[in-house]
Amino acid sequence: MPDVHAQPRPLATDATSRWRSWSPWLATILRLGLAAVLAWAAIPKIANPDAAVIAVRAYQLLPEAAVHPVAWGLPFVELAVAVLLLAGVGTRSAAGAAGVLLLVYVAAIASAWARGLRIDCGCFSHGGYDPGANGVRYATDIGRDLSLLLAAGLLVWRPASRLALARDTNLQPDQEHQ
Amino acid sequence: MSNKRRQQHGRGARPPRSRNATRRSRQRRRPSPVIWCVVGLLAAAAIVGIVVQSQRSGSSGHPVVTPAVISGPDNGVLQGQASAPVLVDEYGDFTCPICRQFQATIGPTIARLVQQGTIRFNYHPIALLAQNGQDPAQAANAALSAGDVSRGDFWKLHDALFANQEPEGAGRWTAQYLLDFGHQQGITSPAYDQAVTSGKYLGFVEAITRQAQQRGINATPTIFINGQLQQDPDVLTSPADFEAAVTRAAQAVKG
Repeated sequence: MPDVHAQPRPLATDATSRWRSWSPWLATILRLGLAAVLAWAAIPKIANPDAAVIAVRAYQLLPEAAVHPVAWGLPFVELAVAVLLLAGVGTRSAAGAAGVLLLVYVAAIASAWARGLRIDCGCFSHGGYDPGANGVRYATDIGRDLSLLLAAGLLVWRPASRLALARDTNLQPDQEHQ
Repeated sequence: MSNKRRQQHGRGARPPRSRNATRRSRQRRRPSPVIWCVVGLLAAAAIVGIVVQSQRSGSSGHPVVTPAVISGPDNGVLQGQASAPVLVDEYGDFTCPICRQFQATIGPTIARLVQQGTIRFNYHPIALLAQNGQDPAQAANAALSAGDVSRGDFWKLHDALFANQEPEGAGRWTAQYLLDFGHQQGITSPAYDQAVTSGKYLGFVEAITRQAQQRGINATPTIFINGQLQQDPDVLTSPADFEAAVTRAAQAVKG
């Protein structure tokens, strides 16, 4: 096992090195933030499987046979991605998976908006029919998911971060200055 | 998985261009094994979720409470005189468009035959469809909850739910919506409010739906006349043909 908490050596002073010094910390913040949001989204859906079914069904995108598997499986996938990001294991792949999920969510919400459905997105809570749904809320949901998508994209680009368990996303001090 | 590859994969600093290009071309041929580990893990998580949640949801979630309004055979809501020679069973779903059509075209004939003492009508409020983003179990629960107030209120809501069916309205029939809907129909008893809000009969609806499916009922409306499954589309769409089928059944009883 490599040293899990390996610290980088002091860095040179040019701009690239300054970027190198704070990029891992930015990645750490993005990683933990994305993990928290995903876990926050997954837990209520796992706690109430029947409500999750209603939320998925309300989008009217899936055939009935697929509604239950998606409603029950997806929150566990969200939670698994959150755990990977939290631990910093396979960060690039996990962030990629988060990005795929977010792309799907953005498309689903946009499609519900475009079709004039009035539903709660079911992102963090119980979804389903919601007479209060309007363009502002759909736009807010999409905006939030796009920000998260940006975070996921940055992590795919630069997955190396501090406080990560796995070496593959840790800085390799020995190679840093070669 | 090789350390070398992982190191290259996760490096924070940008490698020299030539190495970068080498890495890209190598990745194109064979993606990092980490990706497949993650994909496998996520697939496993999805399967675990489906298995765990399928056990947690459904019957385990709601206790099966038999509603007061249930009085007919096979957990139906029965209307009509005991002396009526013919029993008509309908397995219906409040969100099913063909059930609404059946109610609109054959419903008046059924009401008249019940009045005349020719038939007893036994309605089974199952939740088979679960389509259109609606929740038929909630609608059935609301009708059965109205039955807690009075038998007449069950049929009032039965008629109103079909008359106000809206295929476009996604997830329209939530408990909250049905609470207001019942109030609009003049059902204002606290017993109704309590049963709708708590989902008192959701477990019962699930149970009779499963029961119906075990009997091979996979479509709504499914109509039985004296236990005979009606498959002739004319009987289900033409009042005259429906009445003729009832008359035949009545004659068969008289023998």
